[in-house]
Amino acid sequence: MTVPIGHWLALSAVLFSIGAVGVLLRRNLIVVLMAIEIMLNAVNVAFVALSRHLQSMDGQVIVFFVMTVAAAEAAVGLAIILAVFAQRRTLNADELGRLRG
Amino acid sequence: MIQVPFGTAEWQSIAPFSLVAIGGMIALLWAVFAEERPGTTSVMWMSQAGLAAGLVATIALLGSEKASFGGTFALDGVSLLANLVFLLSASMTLFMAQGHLESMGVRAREFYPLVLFATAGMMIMGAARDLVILFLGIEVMSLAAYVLAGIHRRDPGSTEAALKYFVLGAFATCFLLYGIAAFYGATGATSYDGIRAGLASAPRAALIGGVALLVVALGFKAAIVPFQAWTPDVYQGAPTAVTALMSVGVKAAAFVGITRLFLDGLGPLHQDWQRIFWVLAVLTMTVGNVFALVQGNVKRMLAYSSIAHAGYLLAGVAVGTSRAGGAVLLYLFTYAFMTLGAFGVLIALGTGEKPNDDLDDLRGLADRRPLLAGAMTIFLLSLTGIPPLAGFVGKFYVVESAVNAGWFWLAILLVLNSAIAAYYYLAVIVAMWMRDPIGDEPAWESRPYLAAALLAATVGTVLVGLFPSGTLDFARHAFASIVR
Repeated sequence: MTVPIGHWLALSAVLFSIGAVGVLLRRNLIVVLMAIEIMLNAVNVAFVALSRHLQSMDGQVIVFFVMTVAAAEAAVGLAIILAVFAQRRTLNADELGRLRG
Repeated sequence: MIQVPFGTAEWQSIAPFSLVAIGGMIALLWAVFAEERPGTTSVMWMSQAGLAAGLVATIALLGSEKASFGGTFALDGVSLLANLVFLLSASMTLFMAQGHLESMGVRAREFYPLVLFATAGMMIMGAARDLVILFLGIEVMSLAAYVLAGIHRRDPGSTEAALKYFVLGAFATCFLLYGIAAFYGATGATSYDGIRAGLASAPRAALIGGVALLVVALGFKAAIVPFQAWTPDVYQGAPTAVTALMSVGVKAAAFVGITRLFLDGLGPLHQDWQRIFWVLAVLTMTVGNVFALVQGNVKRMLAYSSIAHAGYLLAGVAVGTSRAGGAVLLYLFTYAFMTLGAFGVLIALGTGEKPNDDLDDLRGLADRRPLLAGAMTIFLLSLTGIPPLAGFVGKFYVVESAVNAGWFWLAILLVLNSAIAAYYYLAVIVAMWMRDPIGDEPAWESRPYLAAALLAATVGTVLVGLFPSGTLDFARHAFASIVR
């Protein structure tokens, strides 16, 4: 049984939206980071599905690049969150905001 | 399966950015593993050597026109001229940071290699002719830039700037990737040549969606309204040397990437994106200028002014002719000198305890430090667009290309906006020359490297303003083969 391409793209769009809403609405920085990871993986789903649909390997190669970059991004992001936490003792985005306005 | 050849053209095209990246790695390893821990000055010179190697390679290759890696990586006038902008601004940033970071208590030697890594990313962006390579360039640049923004780890403003920059940058990256997926699905390719070839048979909805996603993502990187909300906070929170690099190098790289992508890869869709860019350009310059008017802090004012300049640049992209492409490239060249100079003056004002970058801190500067006030005046007049300085030339050719292509309203709005901008730039000049200072004179330190960088910025601002034709002809010629 093959799942049609439209279903995969719909799944990817739903995951992407969940991630985007998470980044915008959640206040905990770790959760925000996880929401970004969901968005990146939503893109990966789209690439793999399109790759199969188009019968080209490019999409699957791109996924490797995305995964590598996502790992590097998570490392840098967690380091920055740690630096912020060391000063403020909070992970709540609302309690930051010295530079509003 | 596509066979990708690896010959002379390939080596030549990756040489400039590879040399910079390798230079950064050597400097980093040396700073960490040397028997005797090197001082920041030695690491700075080591990093300058890496930039110099990239500069030599760039100059040696000037004039070559080659496509490499199956046409996905360009070695042409645009990438080489962009390299010059990136390398010069990175080099000046390093000189400016020397002494500035130590006075704030930051002894991080990794600062200098990180600037090199960011520069390598910018150079990849300037040469990318494939969306995936553009993405990799953006990430190489941004990951280094996130860390640089937070390099002052003990300062809450700096770490918070890094956090904001990171979250919004990563968010934008997701949109970029989704846009790439849209084009991959619609045209079956990610290279600009492949996309151009596939546009005719692609579903229109996917293309429009893809363009919108790419505009959002690149708009974040270039600080275009309505994706500019992070800019003032991040620019103000980050150490001033990093702000200078972000507002010049990162923005220039984003614009070279945007220009090449839309004029080349998405050229056939110009009727769709030109209208979007027209509106965004006018919005960006107006919002930037209006908010800059009410700032009491000069660093924040310059952040809003950089948004306004992004609007002028975007106007050039919206026009979309090869003349306009050349004007955008020339503008980036002029913008680099004057903006780096203005931020450099702010660095010179800062002491270990206090940044001294409020408008009130600049009052009476002409009496206390006439040379510094004179340099700042030149940079601000240039940012306003007063002839014969560099800023005028950049703006003039963008307006000229707009009029030439029949975009009269865009040209008129751009000129009106420059008139608003004159108000807040002149306010700083008035404060420096005609107002009495408030408070005692801060204990300024002498910083020879910073002075040299400021001198270079001043000379650049004046010289490019007086003799723009060489650079302009080169930039126009470079775009002539891109805009088809």
